[in-house]
Amino acid sequence: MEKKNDEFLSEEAQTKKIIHESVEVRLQNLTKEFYDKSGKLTIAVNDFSVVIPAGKLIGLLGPSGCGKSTTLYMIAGLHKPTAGSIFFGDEDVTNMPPEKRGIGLVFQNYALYPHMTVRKNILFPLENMKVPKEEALELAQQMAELVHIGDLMDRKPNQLSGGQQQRVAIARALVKKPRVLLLDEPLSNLDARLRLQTREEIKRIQRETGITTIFVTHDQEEAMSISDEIVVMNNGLKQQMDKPQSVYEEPINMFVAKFLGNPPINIFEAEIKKGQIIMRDGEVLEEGFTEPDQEVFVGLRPEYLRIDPNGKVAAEIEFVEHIGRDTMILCHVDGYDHRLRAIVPSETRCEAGQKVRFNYSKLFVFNAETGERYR
Amino acid sequence: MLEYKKDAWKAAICLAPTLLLMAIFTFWPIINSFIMAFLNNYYFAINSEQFYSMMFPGQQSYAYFMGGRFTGVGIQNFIYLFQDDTFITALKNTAIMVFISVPISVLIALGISVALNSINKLRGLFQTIFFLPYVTNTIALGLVFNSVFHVDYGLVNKLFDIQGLSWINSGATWGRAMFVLMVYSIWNGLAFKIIVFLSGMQSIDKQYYQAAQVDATPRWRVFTRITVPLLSPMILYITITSFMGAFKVYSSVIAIFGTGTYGPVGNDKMLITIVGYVYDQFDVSAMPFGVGSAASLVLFLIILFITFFQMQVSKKRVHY
Repeated sequence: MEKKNDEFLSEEAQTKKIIHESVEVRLQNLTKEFYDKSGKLTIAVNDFSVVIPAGKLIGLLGPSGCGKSTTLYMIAGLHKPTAGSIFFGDEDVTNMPPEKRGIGLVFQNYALYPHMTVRKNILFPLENMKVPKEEALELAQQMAELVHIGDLMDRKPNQLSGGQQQRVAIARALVKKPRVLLLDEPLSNLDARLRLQTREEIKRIQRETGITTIFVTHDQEEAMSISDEIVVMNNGLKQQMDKPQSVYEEPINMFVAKFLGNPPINIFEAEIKKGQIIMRDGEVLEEGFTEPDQEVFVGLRPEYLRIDPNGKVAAEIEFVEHIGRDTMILCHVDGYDHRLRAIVPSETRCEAGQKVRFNYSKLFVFNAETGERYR
Repeated sequence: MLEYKKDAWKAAICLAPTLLLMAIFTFWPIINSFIMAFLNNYYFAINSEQFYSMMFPGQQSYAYFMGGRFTGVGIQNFIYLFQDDTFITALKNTAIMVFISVPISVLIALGISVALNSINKLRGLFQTIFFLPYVTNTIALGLVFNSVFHVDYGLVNKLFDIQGLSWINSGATWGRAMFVLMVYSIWNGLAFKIIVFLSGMQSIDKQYYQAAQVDATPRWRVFTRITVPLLSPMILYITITSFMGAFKVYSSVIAIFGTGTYGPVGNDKMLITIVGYVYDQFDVSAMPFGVGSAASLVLFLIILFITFFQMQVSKKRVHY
């Protein structure tokens, strides 16, 4: 019944044509340097170039302090870049103040004005634009209904749940029909259940409005689940931009491979010798490498492993955890301190102490120094 | 429930010393003064029957209260009060101090706080300058004002090249003297208000301002729609305490005009205030405590009413 209601509202929203002029966002060699209190130079964002296609939902993903929020605030205009340019379509907005850029920004803690009702919060941007009162009221109601808070208009923010506050913040950001919607850690203040629900909401709202949307997150699952494409960042540098599944399956380097995936990828030190990749226990994983002899890292995603008597990885099972649908196996591999983790179908028969061999569907090989992926 | 009882005992024991002292030095005197306000011809500590009968010849019967004598219970003191020109002057002066100087002072403090909050350089310096009056003695400041506005060698007359214009000295008009008193109390009260407003503003989340900026909010609207409402608990606190402080104004008048006078030479009751009037009634040589008590009760009722009114307004206008 609730689902039906959703659909009804969506259709209504569509018939009212909440269509935003979607615009491509282009960042060219964007750099931001800070001097901290001791006068030390920090490069928060380093020569960052990316083209965000019009009407897409893009996740900026990276660990804390990687410069993703700084990038978002530079797109918003609240931070001034040290170098580089920002384009909305063909328009250079690098030196344009935030209020002229036509952006909607949703803050991490929503920044709803606590003394105003939901209605007044949503109306606030329109009052600045001097929209006639009746039209503004109608627009606000329309936005509130788009985000499904139409019945909460007379409440104050502190009478709302986190998820509802989030929706008000999105409505306030969208009501002035911005060209770009920016969301800073949109789900981080919500509990686990709400998070699932809200991320679908964000996806739906983005779809319905067709607005170019950029959101920042440190949660890879969040980014992968709703983004059309994700941009992985580390230390201010762009690592990779692609569709979530492509980034997951074809990481460009070891950082990306390690950052995406839960449980995380297994990384083992190995070496290339005469074109062969050899583990510390002497097992040969691959042959026919053209790279010179050197130390490398190999990466094996837990779900890529299957127990197979003819497999290439030799291990001894230490723990078996049955987690419903799957079984997680923790194994010892000779010559390594850390364990190998494998996720296998639950019908797989295995027990602790058993010596097994694993085969894999895919193996990543990384340069030991740069982390760059060879294969 | 048992736990609660135990805690209540602990609390009572901890509170006892303060409560005891307050009972002796605050509550008991307050109750007494309320009673005294309704005693006719109440004179305190007059042991000599001769003196009392000299003051009230023909008075046949009298009663005792707190070691003093009185002739009856009634509102005689209040009648006296409202027929006394000095008290009317005191009421008028106090009202002007309260209703003119406090709002001006709150507005100026708000303006200075916003300005201070928006600058980065030299903020510490300005903060110190504005806070200086707070750490300086009231009387010392009064003496400075006394000399700044002096008729012969005062800085103000020198600066504007005025000859012999009396602000607070002999021949000063009520308007000019009141002006000096206003300037003095507004400036003197700024420091504390600015500190409270500034700390309040600094605790407002910067993101509200960023959100307002993204939405192209003009500065004035940011101030009226965001800063003021979010600062409203502080503004209420400052307004109520400043009103109370202004109702009790006394020392600043004394500080400007010098010991024991409320006005320039020749008109020493010109700027008398209610508290000044009350103190005068408690003059040890006369001791007509009834009138003083009645005056303080009137002051109490005025403050009570105004504060109640402010609290009612605040329910609508203050956002916690």
